[in-house]
Amino acid sequence: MIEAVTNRHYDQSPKLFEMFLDQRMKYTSGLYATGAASLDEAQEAKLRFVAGLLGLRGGERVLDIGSGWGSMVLFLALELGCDVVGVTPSPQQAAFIVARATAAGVANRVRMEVAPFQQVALPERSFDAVSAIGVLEHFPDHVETLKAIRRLLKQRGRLYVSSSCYRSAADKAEYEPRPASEHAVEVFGYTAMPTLSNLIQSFEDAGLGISSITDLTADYRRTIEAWQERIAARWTELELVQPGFAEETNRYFDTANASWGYTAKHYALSAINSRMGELRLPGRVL
Amino acid sequence: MSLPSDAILQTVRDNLARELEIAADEVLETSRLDDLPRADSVRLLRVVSRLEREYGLEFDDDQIRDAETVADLVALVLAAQQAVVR
Repeated sequence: MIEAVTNRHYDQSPKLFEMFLDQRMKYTSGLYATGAASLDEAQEAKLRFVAGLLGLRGGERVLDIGSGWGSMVLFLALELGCDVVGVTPSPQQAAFIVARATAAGVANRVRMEVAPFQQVALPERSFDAVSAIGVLEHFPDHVETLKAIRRLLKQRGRLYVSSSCYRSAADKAEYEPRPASEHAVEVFGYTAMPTLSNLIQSFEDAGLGISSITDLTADYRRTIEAWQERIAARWTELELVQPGFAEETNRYFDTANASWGYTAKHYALSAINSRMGELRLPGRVL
Repeated sequence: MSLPSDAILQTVRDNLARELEIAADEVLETSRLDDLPRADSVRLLRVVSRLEREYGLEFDDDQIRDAETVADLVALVLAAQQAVVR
């Protein structure tokens, strides 16, 4: 059953998330490093950053894994004219994205696959680019996931992956068995953080050439601070929609933000499906 | 009428002959790569690399590793060509 796989935190009313996320409802790190000041600006900057690393110019065929409330799917379809397939195990999120795409007049460019990524059947070598933004943490087998992604990529197609990581193997060994990590599993369903070394090895084992690694730790901390400000400002309303959500989410954010840079990091990796790698310097921000 | 694979076979034979400095006649479709005169892993990889560049393709890593005969190299090219066609 799809419902059994969908973790309960994400598959809730969009109203909750509309109240504290940015206007695109992107539930992953923004990018402040380009000089963005507001959360909305930072999230747009991040989407452009991803598109730049994927080498997108417009009109490409892109797969977005773990689409959330559709920020990447809609950005690609609407602003870059891409043909996008989004993957989410949440029927509610899929319906939300399709509704937004329809309202924006790009329903013909968006297709949502409602299933866990492992169960989706897509034609091999059919995508110019794949984005997996803050989603690998929810997949137990990174090598298998990356191999599956590679099979879907055209030759010289590009991949963007971002993931929270333990700062070191020692941190992973120490903190993974702790209650806070278990709490995260209760909230999000399967979730586990690799180290950056683990991730790099997974890319190697999958035959994907890494073209860039970007440290987004500071950006994520600032993003979560922005979310927490908004949760605080709309606490009463949040409680009316879903009692306890604000408290639980805020507590999780406190833990995450305390750990950035000490025991946890957040990295973006780009890769290309080509044995010689990028022939020009890695993507620029659009 | 010659098949596309005939042209590929000729290209593969020519590349092997050039790399190993032998006559193309000495390279048969059934020849085992390791048994060809002066063949070693570096030279054979150079041939694979030249084929990839000549055809603008990338071959499957496992298939490269498993290639044992000239016919296997032809199959390598065909497989990569077919993978591109949609």
